Amino acid sequence: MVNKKGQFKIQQTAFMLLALALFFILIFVFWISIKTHGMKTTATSLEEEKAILAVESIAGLTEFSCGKQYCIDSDKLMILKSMKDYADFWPANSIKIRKVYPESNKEVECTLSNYPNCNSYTIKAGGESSVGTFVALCRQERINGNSRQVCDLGRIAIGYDVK
Amino acid sequence: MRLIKLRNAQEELVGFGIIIVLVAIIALIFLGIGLRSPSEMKNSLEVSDFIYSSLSYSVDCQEQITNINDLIVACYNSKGCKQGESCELLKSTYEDMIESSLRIGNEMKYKAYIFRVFSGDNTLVFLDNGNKTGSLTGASARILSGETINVSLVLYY
Repeated sequence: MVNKKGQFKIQQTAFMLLALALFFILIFVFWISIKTHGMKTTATSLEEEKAILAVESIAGLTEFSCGKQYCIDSDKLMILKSMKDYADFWPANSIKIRKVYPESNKEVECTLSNYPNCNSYTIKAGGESSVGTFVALCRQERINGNSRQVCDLGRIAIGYDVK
Repeated sequence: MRLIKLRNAQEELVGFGIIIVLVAIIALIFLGIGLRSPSEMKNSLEVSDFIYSSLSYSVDCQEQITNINDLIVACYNSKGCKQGESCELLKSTYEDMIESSLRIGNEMKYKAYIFRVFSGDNTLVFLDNGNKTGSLTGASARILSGETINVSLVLYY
């Protein structure tokens, strides 16, 4: 009788230990999944930041810049568009700048005949995927006989091939 | 015999209680971690670029006030524009710019935003729109003109 009761007690303890172990394993799996998700999110945002930094460095090139940070000279873009020899010079598969504000309904590629009444500048075409950031899109305009810098809000996107 | 049975029952209860407390503590720790994470704001390079680029945006105010940067300083100094108050022009320009450039909406990447132009406790412009739930991202910029004026944009995604 005593032996049977002892066996039952041991069995009870073993089940309890098993349940506790299972519980801690579940907690551990939950914790690992949270950590992995967090790491994946961090990795994605780091990749995005790295890509945006690459875009910023291209926007800062003398060939694009209007002289201050976060600013692209659209007059320069019009000249660069016509210089096909520069295509291999750019450290990206594609470079496209778009005026985003003031907003216009349809995309109009800039040419010498419609500039500045247009909103898109394709410097280099190609690239499967693209990443971009905001820039000021500035040009010189003559207003009441005085030369004045007029700026819109633009977005520069560079393309790259997906590996 | 009855006393031994009672003692055994007490021991079982104590063990059960300890397990309950242990499980509750662990659950609370995980709940704490889960609730804390979404409210932390991530600094965004894209939002920072948006703010700094927007400062150069041309406005039609006065001869000396040609861009948003000048308009913010004019708003701080309570200077007027041709068409009225500089702060009103600043507010309407940013409202339009944020909503059309960043495309705020329930089906979009960004669900809501909070935009502020302030100097210390003095808020010059405050804008907010959308369903403010989920994770946060944002950035702020400083304009120096005698006093420090801050421009901040927080986005919910």
